[in-house]
Amino acid sequence: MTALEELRQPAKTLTNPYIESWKEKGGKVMGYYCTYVPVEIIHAAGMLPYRIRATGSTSSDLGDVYTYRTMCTYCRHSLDQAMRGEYKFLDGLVALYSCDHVRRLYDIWKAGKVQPSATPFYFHFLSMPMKADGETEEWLQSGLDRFRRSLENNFQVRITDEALRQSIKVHNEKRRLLKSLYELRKQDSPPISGTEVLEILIASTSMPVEEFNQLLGKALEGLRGRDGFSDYRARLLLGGGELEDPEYVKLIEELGGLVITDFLCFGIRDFWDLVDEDAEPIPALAKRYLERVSCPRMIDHPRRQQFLMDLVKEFKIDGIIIQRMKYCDTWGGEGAMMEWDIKKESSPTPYMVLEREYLMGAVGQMRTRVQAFLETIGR
Amino acid sequence: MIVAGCDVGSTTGKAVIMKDGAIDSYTIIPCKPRPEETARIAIGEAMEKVGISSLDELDYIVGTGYGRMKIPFANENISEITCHGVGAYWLSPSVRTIIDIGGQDLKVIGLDENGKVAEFVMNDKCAAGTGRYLENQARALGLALEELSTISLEATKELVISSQCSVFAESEVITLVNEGEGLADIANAIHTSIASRLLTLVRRVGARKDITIAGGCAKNAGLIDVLGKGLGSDIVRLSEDPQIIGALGAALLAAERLRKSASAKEQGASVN
Amino acid sequence: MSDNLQIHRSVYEVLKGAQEPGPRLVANWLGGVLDAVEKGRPIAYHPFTTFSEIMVALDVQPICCEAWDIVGLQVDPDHAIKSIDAAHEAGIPPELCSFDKAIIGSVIRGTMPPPSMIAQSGMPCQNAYITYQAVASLTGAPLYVCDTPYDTDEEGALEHWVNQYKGMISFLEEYSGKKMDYDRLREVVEESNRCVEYWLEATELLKLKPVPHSGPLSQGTLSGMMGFGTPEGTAAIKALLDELKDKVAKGETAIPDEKARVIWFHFQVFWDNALMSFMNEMGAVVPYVLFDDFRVEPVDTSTPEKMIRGMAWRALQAPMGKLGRGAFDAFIDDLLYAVDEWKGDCVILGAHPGCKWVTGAYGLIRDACRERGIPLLLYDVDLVDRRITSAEESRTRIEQFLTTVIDR
Repeated sequence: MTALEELRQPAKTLTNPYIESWKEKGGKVMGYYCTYVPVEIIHAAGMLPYRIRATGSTSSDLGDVYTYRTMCTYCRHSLDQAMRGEYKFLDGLVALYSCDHVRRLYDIWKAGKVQPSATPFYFHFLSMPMKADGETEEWLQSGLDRFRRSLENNFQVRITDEALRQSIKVHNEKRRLLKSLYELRKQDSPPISGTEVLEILIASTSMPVEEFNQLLGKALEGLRGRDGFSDYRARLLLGGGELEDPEYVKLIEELGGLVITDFLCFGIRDFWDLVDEDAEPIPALAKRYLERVSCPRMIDHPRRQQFLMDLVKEFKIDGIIIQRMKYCDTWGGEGAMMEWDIKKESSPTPYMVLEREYLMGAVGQMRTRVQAFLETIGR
Repeated sequence: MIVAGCDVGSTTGKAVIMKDGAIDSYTIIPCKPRPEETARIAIGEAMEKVGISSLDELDYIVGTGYGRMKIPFANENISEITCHGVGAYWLSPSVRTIIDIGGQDLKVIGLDENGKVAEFVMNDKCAAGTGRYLENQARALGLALEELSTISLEATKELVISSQCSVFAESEVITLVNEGEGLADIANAIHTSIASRLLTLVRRVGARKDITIAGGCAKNAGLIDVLGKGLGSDIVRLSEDPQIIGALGAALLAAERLRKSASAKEQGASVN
Repeated sequence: MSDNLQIHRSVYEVLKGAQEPGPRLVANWLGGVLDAVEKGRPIAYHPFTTFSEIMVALDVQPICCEAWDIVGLQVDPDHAIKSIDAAHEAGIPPELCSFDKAIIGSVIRGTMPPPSMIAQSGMPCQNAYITYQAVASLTGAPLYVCDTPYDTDEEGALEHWVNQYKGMISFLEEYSGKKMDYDRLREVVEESNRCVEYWLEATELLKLKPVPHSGPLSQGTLSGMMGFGTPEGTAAIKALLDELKDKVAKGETAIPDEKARVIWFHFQVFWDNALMSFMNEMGAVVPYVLFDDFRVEPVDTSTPEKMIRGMAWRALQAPMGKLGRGAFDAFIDDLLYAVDEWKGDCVILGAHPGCKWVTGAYGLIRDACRERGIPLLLYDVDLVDRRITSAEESRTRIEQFLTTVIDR
């Protein structure tokens, strides 16, 4: 298998040989739901950070018992997986106030309604601010310190500053490599599709980062010689919240909308900003996580909007599609605010919000909307 | 130049044949279980009406609608959003908003000054407010659809059907019947409940005039009346059967494709 | 502009000469708002969870956004619906909290006076963050949101919170162009202390069996929303308390034969005021409505620093704020406490469909009640949009449930 093909594998399953081998060697795996969790600290503790997906879930019946139909289907499916014991490979869960759905999901886990394997199962809820100012940065620093000490106490490890620096370096390397990948997508004939990129992004959260970096480095070399995709109707930016299903992107691309870049949490929002390697590690992490390209959980919509519009220019985007999970409040509000702002521009970028559920159903309806959207862009 | 458009929806199939820029014939048929069959029968009937015996005589065919990907003889498929926009604009260039009430979905399309689709919204997640809903409600009242429409115009009393779900709305209608409310008033209430859903979607897309309706429900005078009142303006009637607008747009796009490829050939020829 | 404020203006006209404390409170608030509009005085939007004392002390006119719609609802039952639909038409998805959709829609329709600033204490939930960002986006008004610590037991959490609260005061000072006068603030807070004291005393009286009053202590909610820290606000809740004391003294009860006591663990249904009397007719009383439970110590006003700390702490403990922020344990604990203290026979949670921080953990509520053998009814009813669950459906569900409780 080529490096690129290897990177496309982890997205297909919940766990994978990397995680299995990690566990066989006695390693610990820390689950998290949100890109605001500082994975560097988990890594510095010698643990494998794993972004929790619900891959493979076919129903949410069991999960639905503990929650309600208005909880987003991603959370419900994940809860279902948890209750079926599909996350037995996790040793702990780190969460924060990403949204109302995730925080109640955490409460249900914490109340002992799921089947973790580790006893006791480690829980930690980070008090991550929803705005960036000097005061919240100090508060976050103390929060990150507490997280570090909590990991140390629970797992009998020492997280030295040196270890943190090393973790920061290696994650920055991942971010640089991903940015290089995105640079290639700016071309008129990008050598990689949005579907493939999402698979790579999912791999970055499901395997040891050092191995990921190695594979991506090799894949980038291979991509430089690859023939580009030129037969597309429009260059799209795909945005929105949690999206872990490459089939979803494939459907859009099959209709001719090549996804050139994104505004996703598995995507740009996760890796765009680097951590300052010259500063003290905890303050550097606090600064980076607060000031990074934000998710709508942060209250700085105007700044996010500007970033989005800059992306549109930089990548020569013809149209924006925002995929929104039904019941997602965060993207419900953000999607509307984005539309209001775009309509004020002198030549508004074509824009559409696509509602979806975790399981890809109603494919015909999605095709109609996407096809109609591509037809309005005119090619 | 003879072109055709074929619109395979969820409840009806439509075909329009155009010759040298004018409508030659059209058909509307109930759907068969398989879209391929619906398409073949529709195009076949339209062809028969003007003495065309073979598909080869049609220079270009565009398929649209829910079943557009399953029309074997179509040269290409284009979304019903675009096709409805093209069809309505051709019939009436002052149209800026098209309401399409299908068998199982609702669409509102907003056009720009050049008749191109600017934005659209669809409601295809539930049957409330669609043709299916109207059929069920008419049946609950023991009326045919046409009767539901005409009788509603005689309403004198305002009743409210508040349920958002079409199934529960049916129960509400039965309750109203049992309470002795007049059929005309109930019919009007049914139309009002559809209208209120539609109005939100219409305003979502900007509600620019002129506003028109496509789809089978456009023949429902009672519904048009209620909608017009809610919008505070008249709904423009199109000069052709409102059910064929999608297929008409598809046929027009077929002609456009031909013209483009003809001029491309010419340019190619002149370069040589 | 005056056309759009027509409903509230008409309410003011009707109530302005009123002598009774409740109507006077509403009139005083509406009068203040209309005066601010006319004279161009600064107006601050805030949600219910952000108490308005700091605005009152700065002579900034507060508008509690939920209260604006509640007033509108009393005159026009479709008031909220029109705003909700306006929000939908602007692209706000239907599943958001309808209180919040109504606020966004009212701003779009211009049926709320435009704000000079928006201040929010960051509670109870995400919908509130989204709403006030949307309002800021629509109006261009400056926005301040306090960053709420998730777990107040966490080291340094309260310090952080006090800093954020002070940040809100600085924000209001900046955009009103005034400096906080702490003597004035002391007056205001001593007034709101009295308001809370009376409110608490009133809720204590409802622990009596049989209960002297059934249903929400509306004067409390109104005082909290429209007159916190004003003499009118305190007078309204005091009048209610005096009435209750009077009833107790005379041995008057809410209904002649109390068969069941219902802990109503959410807000009352604002468009269906008769729902409470419907339960009364069945022999059920409601001695507890969730957001009347304002168990918090009085604010120490001896120094400005203590006062600010006290106000900040109170914001964390106030109804909706305390349970909305943070982990779900507090919600379950308070539910069980309410059943015990107010001697509840059952719990009805008429949850607002957009209220995902409650509905998300329905299973945990069920488990807790099952463990204790407490009959529980969980059902959907929207607090401002009467289209979701009709009055009839509400009564059917409640009747079925209460019959099982009463028959035990």
